[in-house]
Amino acid sequence: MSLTIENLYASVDGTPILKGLNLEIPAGEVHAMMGPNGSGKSTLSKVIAGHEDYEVTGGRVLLDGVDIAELEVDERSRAGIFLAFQYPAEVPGVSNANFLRAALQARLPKGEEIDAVVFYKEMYAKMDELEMNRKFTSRAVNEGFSGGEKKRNEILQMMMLDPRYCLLDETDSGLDIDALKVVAKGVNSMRSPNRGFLVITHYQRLLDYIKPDHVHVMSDGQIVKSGGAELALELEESGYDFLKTA
Amino acid sequence: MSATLTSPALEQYEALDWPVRTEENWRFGAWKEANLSGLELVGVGASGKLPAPLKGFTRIVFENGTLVSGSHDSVELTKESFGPVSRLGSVKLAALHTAKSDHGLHIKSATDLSIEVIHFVSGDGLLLPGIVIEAQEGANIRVVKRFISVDNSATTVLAATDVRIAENAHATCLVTQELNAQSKFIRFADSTLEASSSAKLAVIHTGAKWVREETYATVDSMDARSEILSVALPTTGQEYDQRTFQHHGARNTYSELLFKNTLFGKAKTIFSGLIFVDEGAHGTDAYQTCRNLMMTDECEANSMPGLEINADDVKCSHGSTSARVSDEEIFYLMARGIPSKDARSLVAQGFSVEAIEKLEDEQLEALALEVVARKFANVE
Repeated sequence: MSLTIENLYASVDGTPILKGLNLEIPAGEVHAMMGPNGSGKSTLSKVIAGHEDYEVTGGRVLLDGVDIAELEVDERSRAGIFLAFQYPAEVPGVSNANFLRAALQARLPKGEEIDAVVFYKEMYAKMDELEMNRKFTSRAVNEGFSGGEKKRNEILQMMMLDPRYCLLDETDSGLDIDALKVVAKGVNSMRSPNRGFLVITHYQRLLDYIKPDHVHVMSDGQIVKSGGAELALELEESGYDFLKTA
Repeated sequence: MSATLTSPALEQYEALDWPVRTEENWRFGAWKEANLSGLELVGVGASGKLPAPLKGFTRIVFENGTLVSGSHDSVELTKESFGPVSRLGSVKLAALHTAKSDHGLHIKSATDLSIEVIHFVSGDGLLLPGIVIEAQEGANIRVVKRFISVDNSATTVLAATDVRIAENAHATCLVTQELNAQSKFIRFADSTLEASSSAKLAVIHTGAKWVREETYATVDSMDARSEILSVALPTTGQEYDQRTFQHHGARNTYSELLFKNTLFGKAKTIFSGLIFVDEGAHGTDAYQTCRNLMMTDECEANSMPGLEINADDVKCSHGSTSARVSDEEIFYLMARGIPSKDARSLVAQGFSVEAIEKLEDEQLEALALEVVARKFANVE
């Protein structure tokens, strides 16, 4: 069971961004992806999620052995991929509760309806865990939310949708230390032998709270270095200068 | 019928001309649709399926203008038109209402009141309902008025609404137009506000092949507040033409207009609005916004916002935008597993919510959302 990226090439508007990237995230592991700005980290997450602006020009992504190339964005989500956005979209007029219900409803067989009582009970329990005020259920998705509130909301969605592979794109950006701890707690509560994580971050700080099994460094569309958790500490210490000399 | 063949109203109506292409008030509009010559009044009506009742509201039901159920001490039935005046281009149509309308409602109350009027509409021909809503000093009146087709006939509804708010009174009026796609809907919506009064006048358009609506808000007493709200959801074969006038004639008055159109298929909308501030109406605070959400490349939204300010020290703004559904929002919803069609529908329904929320009345908001959701369930 794994999310496997094989020799992946992708471009935006004809500009190559990913240039033969290989990565395997077995269920049960947390992989951290680091690297300088513009190395292609966010692109990787968008490509896996199926964003139409990114064209896959080579290689493939396998979800538990199945090529997802032909799957639409929503199908990938329902198949078990979750992307926590760096900049979550605001959706005016659509309440968080309705949004989550629609997302869960989409996972049910036709004709089956969500049990509203069970849904709210579960949502409230997870909101409590993330220290989110319940007023957020009736507020429009991310509209007027602070940076931290948006990121908590991403994690709430992740917890509710129970995905098999979670891609966290700079979830720590815009978070103060307290919010970071809460978000990390939410992520850690979801760690399980059946679930894999790809945590994209610029900073070691997040990895103090979400301990990775593996750390990778990305540069110019490829993984150029991999190691254990200690690699993140080294990067924090010495930066990415080694990329220039490599 | 109240009018006879020799009535002055009928003579006046006959002396007037139907709208023509060259009139500014019909710019972009389907002026030919307004020609109702030869159209006879509809016959006996038919009953429809009654919607769930609104808690605390007295329900009054009409079938083609004939009262079939409901009454209230503050509601009087009238046998003739109250004589709407068109100041936005449809003088002939207003005269037609005056000459031929044979039924109307006069709601008048000095105390709080909630009335729901349901018009079941059927048969080919012309229906001319009218309503006067009079909130007397200190009263808070809520009126819901629903126009619902009960068959597939081509009915033309020419309706007139006149809202008069006395000092310190408040009225909220929600009109839902749920006619079939063969029908036409024409409405004059006038409101007059006295000192320190307020009104929220909202309309939801989901039906009819052609809508022409002329809304005229007179805000000419100190500290009066007027809000005009519209949610329109036309699709292929539907054209909605809305003209508005916010007339500020006194100091420290407030008006806000928010129209939200979501256009599907080959729908067409026309919005023309003017904020007019009289000399001496200092301290006017007036806003006018028309937003169009274009769900396809084939739909057409025409907006003509306008301002004419003749006083100092005013805050006025007007604006109109047309935009497509945001790809970013759709991607976000789809990335949570929501299929494309449902994602677009959710975003579009959310777009309407901004206007609906301004009703600030849970019951009315729920009703408006229900009417909107029904349309979304039936549109591609």
